[in-house]
Amino acid sequence: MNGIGDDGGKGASGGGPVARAILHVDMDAFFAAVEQRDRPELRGQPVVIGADPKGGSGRGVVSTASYEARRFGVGSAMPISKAYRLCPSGVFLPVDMEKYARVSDEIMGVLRRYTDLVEPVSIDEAFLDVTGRRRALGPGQAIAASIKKALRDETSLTASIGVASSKLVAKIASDLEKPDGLVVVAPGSEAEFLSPLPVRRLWGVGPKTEESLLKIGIRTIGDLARQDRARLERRLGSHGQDLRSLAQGIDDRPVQPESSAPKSLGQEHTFERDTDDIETLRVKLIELCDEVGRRLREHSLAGRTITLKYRNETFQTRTRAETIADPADTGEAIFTVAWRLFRAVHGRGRVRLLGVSASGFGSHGQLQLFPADSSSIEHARDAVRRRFGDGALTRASLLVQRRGDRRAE
Amino acid sequence: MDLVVDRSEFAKELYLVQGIAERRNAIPILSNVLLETSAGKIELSATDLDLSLRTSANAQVSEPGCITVNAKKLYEIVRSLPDSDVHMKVVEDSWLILHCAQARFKIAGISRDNFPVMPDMTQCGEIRFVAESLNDLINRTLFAMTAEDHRYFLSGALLVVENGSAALVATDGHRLSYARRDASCSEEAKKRTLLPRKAVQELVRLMDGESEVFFGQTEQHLLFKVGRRSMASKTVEGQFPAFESVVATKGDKIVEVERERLIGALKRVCLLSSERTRAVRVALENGRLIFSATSPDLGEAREEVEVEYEGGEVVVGFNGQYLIDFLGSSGGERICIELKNAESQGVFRPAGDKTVDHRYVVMPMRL
Repeated sequence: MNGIGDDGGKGASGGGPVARAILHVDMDAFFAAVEQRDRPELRGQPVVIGADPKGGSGRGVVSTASYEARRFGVGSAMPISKAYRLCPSGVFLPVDMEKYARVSDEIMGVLRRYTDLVEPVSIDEAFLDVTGRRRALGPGQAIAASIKKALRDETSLTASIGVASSKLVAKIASDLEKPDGLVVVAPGSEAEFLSPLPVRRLWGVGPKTEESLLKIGIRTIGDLARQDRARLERRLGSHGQDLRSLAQGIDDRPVQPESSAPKSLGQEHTFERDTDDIETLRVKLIELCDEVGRRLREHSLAGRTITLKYRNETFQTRTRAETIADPADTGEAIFTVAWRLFRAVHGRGRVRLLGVSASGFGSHGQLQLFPADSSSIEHARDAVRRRFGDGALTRASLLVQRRGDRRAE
Repeated sequence: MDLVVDRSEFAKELYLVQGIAERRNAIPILSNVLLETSAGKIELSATDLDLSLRTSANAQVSEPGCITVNAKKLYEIVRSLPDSDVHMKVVEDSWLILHCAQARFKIAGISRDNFPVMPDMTQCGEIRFVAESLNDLINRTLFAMTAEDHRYFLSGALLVVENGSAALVATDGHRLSYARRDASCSEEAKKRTLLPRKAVQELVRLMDGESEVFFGQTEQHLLFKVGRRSMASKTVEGQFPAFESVVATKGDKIVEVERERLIGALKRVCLLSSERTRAVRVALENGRLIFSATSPDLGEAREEVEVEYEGGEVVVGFNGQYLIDFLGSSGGERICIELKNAESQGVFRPAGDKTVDHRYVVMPMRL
């Protein structure tokens, strides 16, 4: 424990006289930076982490591009084939999630030395509430500078940090001077700081909302902040009111520290070719569910909420979730739900991507009266896999499908 | 069809059938009740294809016939009528004309040709149950049945009939409730069958005010006959878990507690248990039983109950709601609790009740 709270923490809770000091720490081109750190020959080279480009015909997307690659116009979430066209000389590397997760743990460890109030947002970014640590460590800006130095010294990676009185403003600030940036927004100047920025920067403004805002002449966050409340509500419903508050720099969402346990575990697959073959889809879904189940058991977790991610050939993505009474940790149980969700969402079109994830983990561990048979089978299978590798044991239904594939080729 | 019935008698039977008819509305005719005349009676039938119910009310029939109409609407109408004779007549194009006192309704019906064929319910009568016994067994087990489950055989209760005794067993995989009563049914009967949850729930309503239930089984249906009411439920396939070994388990740390005292303490402590898990910590020590709960958002609760106990200490986590479910249905002044360790099931039963063997086995939660 770092002894937060006693020194000035009181005034910080919810709009008291003391403005909060929130930091948003965002690692610069994280995956690519880790690879460049570990392989000196890659430094200064355009590095693209993501799906296999397969000489330009690959499917999947870019996870992270190094700053060198970004100069070629390569960006995250871009189809890998496009990245390849833009930057054929780039070094394309697969995502080594295990390695990045290890480095991420180190980074979060560094951050937790400054305060317990660390909320990891993703593998490479986190919010910190250092309000109560200022007396001991100095103002937010000094704490941010110290964090940047510690990260550089201990992990050889750079981070950009935004310092502000709210999560919203801190996040926008961290993004302004990337890489290796440090932007401080003084309390009281939030609205002024936000005002010239495009509305797109606000949380909750996606392409659709942006479009409807542009239609009524709202381009900047300042435009939005000055809008008449009733008019906005007519246009955007209650969402409009929330956005206007955010635009005015009003955001009192607390930093919510998370235990180190994952929030959800998932697995997804992009098909080589979009497919509407129901058997192919079903078999892939079984595979994904098996994999999620295996990972859940590996972490001794069971999920109460099963989520299906479904993307069709027109790139429309739908997610559907169902919460079940008995937390699931077997492929069987997960598939039962995932298949139901799939049938509800699948129409006539071809499918590009399927994903399955489990969340809503509890440590509550209700024990079972009649431990399910499938569970012991799956535990046995896990043991065989650990010893002989992934391909050693599989479902008969998956095997039949694979033969079918081969015949088709 | 042309007939006169007594409003309150008709309403009572209509109430039963509309409960089944309203369930599925994907197929419109299933929302309807089939009304048809027989000698001195009007028969009412409804089905949701899994469960079918047929009952009747006395009627003065002046012209035989039949029709189907929306069951829920007809029930609402009949319920709202003054207590008097109800005159019903079918006219051309499937209209039902209903008169009562000064009120007159013209209700759109559908011809019976579209109504599903009802299962043959004439074979009821193999086993005779004492309705009161069966009702008690259901009360003691219904709460432990799963509402929705992919192991759908759990969504029901196992009925075991032997030497005049009847037992019901229900489980959702976390807890199991077993109740058995002697002298509940015909001596020579022997049976072991799954009763679907819906049928069990409906049976409770059918038995209201009756003293006997006749039960029989065909290849496809379970048949129940209560007075003039007959119900058929599709049989359920599935292997009910081996409950005998579960019911036979015992704990070595045994204590008896007043039931009211237990319920009170548990309900209070549960108020601050985590909403999702309802976890309650149960600690048995010499002379006292301590319940406690913590909720990350709300705080903590703790209550001690004085008990006569001198065995070893044990701490077990349980879903508090599971215990309250049982205590609310078990009856009895005192409850006997048997515990073993944090990983083993707890056994709860009403102490000293000679008429019923009721055991409730609950798996713990890891705290």
